[in-house]
Amino acid sequence: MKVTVDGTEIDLPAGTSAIDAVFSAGGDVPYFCAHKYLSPVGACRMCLVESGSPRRNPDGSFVMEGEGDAATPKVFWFPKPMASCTMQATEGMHIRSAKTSQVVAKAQAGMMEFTLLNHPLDCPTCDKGGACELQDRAFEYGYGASRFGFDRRHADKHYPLSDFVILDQERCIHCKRCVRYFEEVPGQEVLDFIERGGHTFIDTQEGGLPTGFSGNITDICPVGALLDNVARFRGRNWEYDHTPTTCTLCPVGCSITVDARNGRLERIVARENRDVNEAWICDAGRFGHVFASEERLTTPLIRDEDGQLVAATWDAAIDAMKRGFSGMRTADVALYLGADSTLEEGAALEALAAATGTRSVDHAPRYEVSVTAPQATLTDVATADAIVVIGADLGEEAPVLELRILEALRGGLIPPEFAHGTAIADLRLVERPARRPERLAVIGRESRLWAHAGHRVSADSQGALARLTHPDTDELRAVVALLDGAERPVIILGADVLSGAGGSFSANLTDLASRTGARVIAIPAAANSRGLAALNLVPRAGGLPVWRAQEAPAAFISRLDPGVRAAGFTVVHDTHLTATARLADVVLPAVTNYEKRGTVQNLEGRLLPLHPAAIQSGESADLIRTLSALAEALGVKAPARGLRGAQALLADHLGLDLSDLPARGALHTFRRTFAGPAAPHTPTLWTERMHARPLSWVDRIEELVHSDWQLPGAPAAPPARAGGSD
Amino acid sequence: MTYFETKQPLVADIFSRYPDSPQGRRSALMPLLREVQDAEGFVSESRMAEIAALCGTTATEVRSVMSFYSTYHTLPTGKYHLQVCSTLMCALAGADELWDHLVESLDVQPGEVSPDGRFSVQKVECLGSCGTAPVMQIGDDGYYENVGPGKCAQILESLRNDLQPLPDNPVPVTVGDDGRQVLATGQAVGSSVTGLHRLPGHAGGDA
Amino acid sequence: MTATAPTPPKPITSAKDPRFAPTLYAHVGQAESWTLAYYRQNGGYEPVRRAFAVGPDAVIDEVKKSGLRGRGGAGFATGLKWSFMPLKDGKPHYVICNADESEPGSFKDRYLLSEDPHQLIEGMIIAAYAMRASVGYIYIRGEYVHAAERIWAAIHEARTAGLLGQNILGSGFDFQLYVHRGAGAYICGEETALMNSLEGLRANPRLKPPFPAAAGLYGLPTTINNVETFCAATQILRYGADWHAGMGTEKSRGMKLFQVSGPVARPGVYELPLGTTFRELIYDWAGGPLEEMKAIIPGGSSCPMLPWTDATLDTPMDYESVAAAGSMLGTGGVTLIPQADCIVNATWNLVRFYGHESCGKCTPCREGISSWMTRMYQKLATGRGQPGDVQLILDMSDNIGGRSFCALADACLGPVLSSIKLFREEYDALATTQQPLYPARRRWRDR
Ligand SMILES: Cc1cc2nc3c(=O)[nH]c(=O)nc-3n(C[C@H](O)[C@H](O)[C@H](O)COP(=O)(O)O)c2cc1C
Ligand code: SF4
Ligand code: SF4
Ligand code: SF4
Ligand code: FES
Ligand code: FES
Repeated sequence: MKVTVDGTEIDLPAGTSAIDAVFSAGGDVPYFCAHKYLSPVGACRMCLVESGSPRRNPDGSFVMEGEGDAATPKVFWFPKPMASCTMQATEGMHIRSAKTSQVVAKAQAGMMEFTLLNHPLDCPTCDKGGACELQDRAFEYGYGASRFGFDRRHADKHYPLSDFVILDQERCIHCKRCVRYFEEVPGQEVLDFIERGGHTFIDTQEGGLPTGFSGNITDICPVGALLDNVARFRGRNWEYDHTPTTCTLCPVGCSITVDARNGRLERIVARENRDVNEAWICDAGRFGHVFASEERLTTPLIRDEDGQLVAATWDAAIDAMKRGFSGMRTADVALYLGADSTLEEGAALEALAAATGTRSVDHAPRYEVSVTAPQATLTDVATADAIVVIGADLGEEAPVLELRILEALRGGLIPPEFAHGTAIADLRLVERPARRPERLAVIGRESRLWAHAGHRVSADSQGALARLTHPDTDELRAVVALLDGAERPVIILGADVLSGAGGSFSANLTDLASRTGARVIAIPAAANSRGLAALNLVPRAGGLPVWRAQEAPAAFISRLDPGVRAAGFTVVHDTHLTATARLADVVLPAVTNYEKRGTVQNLEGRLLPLHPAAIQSGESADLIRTLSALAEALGVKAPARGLRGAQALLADHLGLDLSDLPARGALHTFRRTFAGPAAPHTPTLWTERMHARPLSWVDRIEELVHSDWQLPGAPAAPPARAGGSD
Repeated sequence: MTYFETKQPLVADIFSRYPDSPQGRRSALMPLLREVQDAEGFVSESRMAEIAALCGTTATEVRSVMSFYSTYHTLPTGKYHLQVCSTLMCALAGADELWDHLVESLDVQPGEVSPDGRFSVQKVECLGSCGTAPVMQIGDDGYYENVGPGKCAQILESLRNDLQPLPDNPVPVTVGDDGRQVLATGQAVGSSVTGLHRLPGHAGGDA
Repeated sequence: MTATAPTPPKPITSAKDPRFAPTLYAHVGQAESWTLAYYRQNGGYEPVRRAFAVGPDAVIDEVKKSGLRGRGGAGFATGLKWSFMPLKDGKPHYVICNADESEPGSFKDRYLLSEDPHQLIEGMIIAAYAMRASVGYIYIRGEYVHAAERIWAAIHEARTAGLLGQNILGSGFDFQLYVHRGAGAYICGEETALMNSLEGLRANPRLKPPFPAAAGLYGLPTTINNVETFCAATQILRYGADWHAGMGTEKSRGMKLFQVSGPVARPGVYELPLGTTFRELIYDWAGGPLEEMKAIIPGGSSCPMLPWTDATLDTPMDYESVAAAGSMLGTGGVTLIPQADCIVNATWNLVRFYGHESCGKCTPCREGISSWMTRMYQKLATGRGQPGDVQLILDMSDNIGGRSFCALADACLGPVLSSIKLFREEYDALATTQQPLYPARRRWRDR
């Protein structure tokens, strides 16, 4: 399809919106209500363009203009500017943006004036300042002054919609993104406009927004009307150090940007990754970061004469470890790590285990089973025509996977990608989309997902797989029929099936998948359980798993909190003084995953990069560096020299090249995985992570006043990076 | 107690007008709001929640829809809720003066209820009765038309005695009994339907 | 009428023409006119029998041939609109009657609804039959309580008599009809907002395309017509397309309900052929103005005002002639504005109306009209005007016009731009001297 934008002819796929046509041609159109992953509604009227199309004569030929060879199809222009986000570009269409049309330029300046009419000019105190679409566009497209001359609309400026989201009703420009988001993405009717006309405002009648996916509205609000209450007044956008990285609170591995200021992690926002989380993250991922800034360990701790844990240097800690391990065989030291550690960290620990000869190696949480059925990607989920979820509580295990399931139920329309990025307006997306609950079956215990499912089977999850092979009830027969009748079925397995799955599990699953052609996602127990399974990080014959750590003669436990210590000398490496750390002989400070460089593998097998944010955590170290210290104390060779060394190990052992992993990650299947008996595991994302203590805005301001906080005028120098691991 | 608990036939009747689907259920929202308001004079938050549950939606949505319209109330109104049309054609017939008179003589402002609980007032937009301006509606009852000063006094007097006059619906139409229209001069002109030829109907028709 | 003369008879463009008879309002105002018994006595439910006899496609052809255009304001050809409905898609179809009548100056549908409900019901059965619809809704504005009661009662009567429901009159055609009451929002007259309202959603207009005939109520093919349009269809099926086409002008055929409001001797509703002049309506039917006039709003408040001149009075009231005069025929609601009333004040009233009725969806209407324009008028009309205000209103109008999501914002600009054009001196007086040329006066009196 040929379309001419500002005089330049370009070739576009059919169905492209006019706004994407302009962006494809390298042009620009201001917009507020359109959003990549929401239905276009044409509310803000900023995206006006002039457009015209050729017309055909009754015989099918074009109505021409000009004589002879110079004749060209005559363009019939619409008499008025059109909203480009809701207009489809068609063959031969001509579009003029503000670049070449005075009419459009004036229309946009006029619309900007209307948009700013009731908008308080409190940019200097607005958390959105510096990252505000309205502010930017007003500068580019506005008149520069308002002729309004009346008092602005006054409304509540500090209206908490929940503990996590605060609304400034005066700043709202009524783009409806937040309303559409709730309705279209998590499928909740919890936020909407109240009143009409000039009195319209945003509110909820639910006594607060439900926690789950509510924070995303703070990202998509084009102005500072909806704000992250946890990060409120914490900093200006230009003061933050923005680090693109991956959330590792669960195995979805959403792309996020971590914003830190003065060495503190203040805010997390979603970052687009078409393959993983599109533009959304869950509330745990967004607000559950407070632990990273509170009560951190910043130095090693060793026992003093009284047996109390006291701060010490790394050298002192290494000395203490040398003393503690003296007289022991290196193979007596059990090595345990948390399953959200990076692949690089895992490789380093695997190498150390080889060097010490210990048989007691483990990572947790993990499941015993290994799944060989064909892997489904998250995009497969979003475009599936049948989904069966067995034994999963996605809110605790993999929240954004739930959103991708709901995406499938509303038609699985993934906006196309252009050179300028994801389509700004995909005209196939509509408000209040028809939903197909009958495409979703959930089996097991009740969870949030049940509300959206057409088939709900209360059953023992573990038995369900076997019963699906020989369905014995109508409910289960309906589920099998759903899978059988589908072209792109997906089966999702959660903790209730995977934890402690019996011997016939693999056979049953393989059978079901091959019979129905389904692809499978088995949700790993932790953010990188899947990746770490490619390394030999399970107990060797005779070795002790984590849950028997207390039997080990000595142990090194990294970022795990089994609540016990080894029989003998115990070293704990963690970010906080956990119950286990309190029992340890030496505690080594660890960095969180927000402070690491490295790689994790998510639930679909996608390798995703971690980058360190500028968070100050004293002398904390990642596992690779910590293992070097441990190796020194044990008198063995350091397993890996920094991240590069660990990546070299991965390249050697697994043929994995992580040197230039794309930002959106890459799918990878490891040829071999290691499994072994595992402890039962119940994922609890929420209760563990959501210990945010959001202050009311009054408290917050008091706190700020107390700490002599001043409104920063100019971008501050970025704080020195700390805690890195290279 | 919930409002609709004892009114299942009514609820069923309302739902029967719309498709038997989630979308159809949602359509019952406005009729249910109307039911509650007619019975209780306003729609409280607990009623909103009740209606939300019936329609398969949330209280947020009920409030959002409700607040969009100008005839649903979230607070009690007076026994006689006087709605005065204030749009141009009524304004040209003195609706502003009628309004001022009501506010003054009843001593009640919009949003308030008079101390005796009898009266509340609201300005509304064109009631579709511009030919008989000025017009006033009382509650969810009919219209009171051509409300001049004299008629206004009569209506208020009756209402003070809790004798609501019947709504009047003068039909400002000038077609005579014979089906002919009458000019301003009183002259009947043109034809009447009896002068027109009906097309032959269906065989079984009773033409 | 059957024409036997070699040359076609001169079209009927005056209700004084002896060939013209009122049909839509023939029974409005008669005792018991709303009952089924009365309606039947007067030939009711014959047209629908005829429709069943000729078949659905022939009904659409008949309506096309009649030249009937939508009476809700836009004047879109009704037969053509009906033919947009997919015929064999196997999905349920809907017909909706737009009885939201909220455009100031319009009050014709109200009496059709309350005084002759069966005429409407019959028209809807005919339309539904033609468009293969099995369910219909009458969306009636919430304030029309009396009319809604009459319509409900009439539907009940019709259902009991087998005129609604299964296998109507033995035709094999099934049709259910329901009433849905609005609750006070002008925008519900806009057809897509109306469908949202019917679905229990906020009544914001929807994006078009998809058009209602493709995806309307509940996402299914839907056609919406005005009350008068359906009633006219009943009459067309009774007297024939040729009869209907014999009235009016070349492109505006048939009869129309004209409404007159403002200070005239006989305000009211008059059924006249299209092409009747304003003069005939105002003087011969409405009895003439009671005082000196300065402007006519020809078709409901959104239609630009026309000056009170001989040229205007002699303009035929058909879609084309009124458009040529710079306005629109709209709903046919004619309002007269007296010379002694301040035009800025009058326009303020209408701007306030549209501002109050803005649904709030789009920026130019919500901010431009509802927030700003209203206050500009308030400022001018309350004696706080400044030089430059009028120019500012004009420039704002330029930034609003044609840029809004639906036609409501443009509707507001009708009176704004026309009053500035016609009565600039009244605006300038307020902007420069803060004094109106026509001060407020007492108008409240008994009739
Ligand atoms: C803001 C707005 C208000 C409207 N109000 C009404 C109305 O009250 N009654 C009506 O019949 N049509 C109204 N319309 C027109 C309808 O959208 C629609 O065109 C009409 O009902 C179609 O019927 P018709 O073809 O029979 O005229 C309105 C349109 C707009 C844009
Ligand atoms: S709160 Fe923000 S996202 Fe929501 S409508 Fe207002 S401006 Fe848009
Ligand atoms: S879904 Fe998982 S990875 Fe994504 S933001 Fe939430 S916790 Fe983080
Ligand atoms: S113009 Fe915009 S705000 Fe006004 S009624 Fe239409 S959609 Fe709503
Ligand atoms: S109208 Fe808002 S982006 Fe197009
Ligand atoms: S203006 Fe009052 S009824 Fe129309």
